[in-house]
Amino acid sequence: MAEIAIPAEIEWAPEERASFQRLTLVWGGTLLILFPVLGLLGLFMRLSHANFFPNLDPIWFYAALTLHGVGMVGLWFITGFSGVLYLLSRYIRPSLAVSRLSFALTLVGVLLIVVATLIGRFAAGWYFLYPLPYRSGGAWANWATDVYLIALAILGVAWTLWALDLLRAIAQRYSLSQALCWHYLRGETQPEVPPIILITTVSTIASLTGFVAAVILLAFFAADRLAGVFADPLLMKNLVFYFGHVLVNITMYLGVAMLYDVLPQYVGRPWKTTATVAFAWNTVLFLVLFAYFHHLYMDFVQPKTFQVLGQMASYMISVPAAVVSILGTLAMVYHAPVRWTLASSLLFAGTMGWAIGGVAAVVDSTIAINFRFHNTLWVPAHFHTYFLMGVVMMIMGFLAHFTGQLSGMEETPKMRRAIMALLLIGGYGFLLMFYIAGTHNVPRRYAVYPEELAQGIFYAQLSLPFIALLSIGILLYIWEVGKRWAVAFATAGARSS
Amino acid sequence: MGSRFCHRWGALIVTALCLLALCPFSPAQKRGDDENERLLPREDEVLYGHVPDITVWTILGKTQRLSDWWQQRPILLTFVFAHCAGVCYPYLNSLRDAIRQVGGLGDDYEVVVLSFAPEDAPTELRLMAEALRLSRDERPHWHFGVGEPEATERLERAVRFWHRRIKGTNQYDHPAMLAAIKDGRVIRLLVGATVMPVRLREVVRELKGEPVLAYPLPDAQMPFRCFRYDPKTGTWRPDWGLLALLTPPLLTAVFVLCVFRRSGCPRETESVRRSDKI
Repeated sequence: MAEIAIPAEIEWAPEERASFQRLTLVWGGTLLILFPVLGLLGLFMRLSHANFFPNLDPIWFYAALTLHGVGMVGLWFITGFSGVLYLLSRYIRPSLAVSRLSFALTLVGVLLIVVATLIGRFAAGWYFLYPLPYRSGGAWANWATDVYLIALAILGVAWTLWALDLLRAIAQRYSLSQALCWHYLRGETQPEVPPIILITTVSTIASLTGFVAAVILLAFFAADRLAGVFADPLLMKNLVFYFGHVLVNITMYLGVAMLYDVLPQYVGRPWKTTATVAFAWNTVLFLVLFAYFHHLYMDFVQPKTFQVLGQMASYMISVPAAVVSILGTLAMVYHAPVRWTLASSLLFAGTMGWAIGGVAAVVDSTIAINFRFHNTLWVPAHFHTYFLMGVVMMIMGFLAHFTGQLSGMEETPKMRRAIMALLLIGGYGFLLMFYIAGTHNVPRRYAVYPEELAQGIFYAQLSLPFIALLSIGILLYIWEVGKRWAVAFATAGARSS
Repeated sequence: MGSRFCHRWGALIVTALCLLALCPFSPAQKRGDDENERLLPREDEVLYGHVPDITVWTILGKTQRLSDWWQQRPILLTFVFAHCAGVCYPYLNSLRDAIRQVGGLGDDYEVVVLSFAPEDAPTELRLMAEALRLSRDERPHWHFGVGEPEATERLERAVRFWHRRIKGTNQYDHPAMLAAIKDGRVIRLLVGATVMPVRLREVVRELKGEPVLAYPLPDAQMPFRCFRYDPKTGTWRPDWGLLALLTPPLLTAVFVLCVFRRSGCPRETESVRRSDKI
């Protein structure tokens, strides 16, 4: 694979590189701890659906729903971002200080969210749709909402700083048009820009728009809380999904950026930027800003133009990024001497999960179908497919690759096959129950299904054995990668000191 | 002497006014309010609940079960009594007028009017139906009848209807209400002596499985709205709040341009055209 020449000012001193590796490992370690904890909340919710806790106060279900949702999205965003940052450190020089500050602020934010949900019982969902957070009807106190929103503000500051620093680092080496690969569109091939630079630039710019939307959203909440100025619920819903949808999309793209950079190392074929790749990702930058309108199909006061725009953007966004990347992955492994390890297997399976979840998402983004599937279990079905079986697997693949490289530890094919089989059978079995229940119009966000929705209980019960398999798979992964992580952390620590 | 008299009267008036002012908040008044609250059937208590499938003797001399109607299409069920000197007749007139405005009778629903008074016979209800002056098209879809007293009471309980005889008269105290029933389940309750067409339209839409749309009207205290809607013309125009949606991409564009201008990347890597390279 051809290496791209790195200017001297971007070269890292060995101690600096070791510090960067250590910081990335800290993010990875956070993932290994928080992933099962947040996963347990998901299990608790599915057990509740399966009627295991008929007498439990439903507020706990909704508090768990809130923490699980915001926790999972945030966790995979930060680990995806830190992983990409590490991969990018071969080409650019992000600031270690900013990364450390982001980590510290993120920890504070996470702690506050835990306080808001588990102590304050804040249960408005990650999307905290206005005006519910400050008008809970006594379900939770306003201080819990304050803490939740302050936590989001802290996380927003941390991640905005991170994103701006990453852009600064990219800008040190590339002009904006180079980073966005516009010269490829003009038929030029120099300077050669790795796909990870293009994808990260697109993702970072898009994520900044999401963070700005979150700032405006929080300002409206503050105006309501402090000055009693009532905000337009439609405007607030637009802002929250602008932020939320972009954040989830960007997390997926961070996983794809890892795929472009790591998978070629196992296939032995380079994945170079081409005019098609450049066009696809520039289109994403434009379309990702409009796709979120599909969350507002039920808001009939939203002008029809926006709704149609939402459907068109949702359809079109799947073509450039998804099709180019998925076909690219298939073309890359086709008839190639692929070295199938835990890392490459997870990256490949994650790409396929992204494809399957993407199709289900496009189905749901069709206005006529959304009219039937809106707020049914089809929704968690599709987003868990492209998230859990998509980007989560990609990032797990990266972590396996990264810790494997640093520790130098070998893996046994038996363990790899066991982990993959458990994750795939458990994961897709668990999701299939969501899909089937969704097609039967079983609603989501129900703490306990009443008698009329007994199908919901049945499918939740059916999903439990699959969740057990998935959980065992995740625990085996944590065991396997955790061993590598411990060795890698000790090695990087010795080098940095 | 005169001033003391005035003072005493003044104190009396002030005390009386205070008592008067306190009256609405007195425990008795509050008890009365609570009782009135309880008298009105509450929709949330019966929503999606099953109703018993009772037998009805219609004014046409037929014996039918309620399910015979709801298996064909949803029903709007209401309770009256033939000798009502109060709300029943004006209520049925109001229901008839609202149905004429909303439409859908016979296509989307049937109307079932049951007497809750045990002494009412189908013949007496027939007079009531005639007083309603339904058109030839309407008559086949309005079904008047009586049920077994016990069965009717079970049905009343299922939709939270109640009636109470007023002592010394042939009259009953009861609410005016309409229960929308689909496949044997309560879908909506409309309570009140006047049936508003706008409310009935919601009920009919719900029976048809269509969404019932609701949104707060423009409020002067809401400074930023996405859109302004003119209910007279049915048109909308963008409002200041829309700027809040344009701000993220615009502000980000400014940030990004600033970052890339300040950092000023090295320009030693000249672009090479593919054709040049070849």
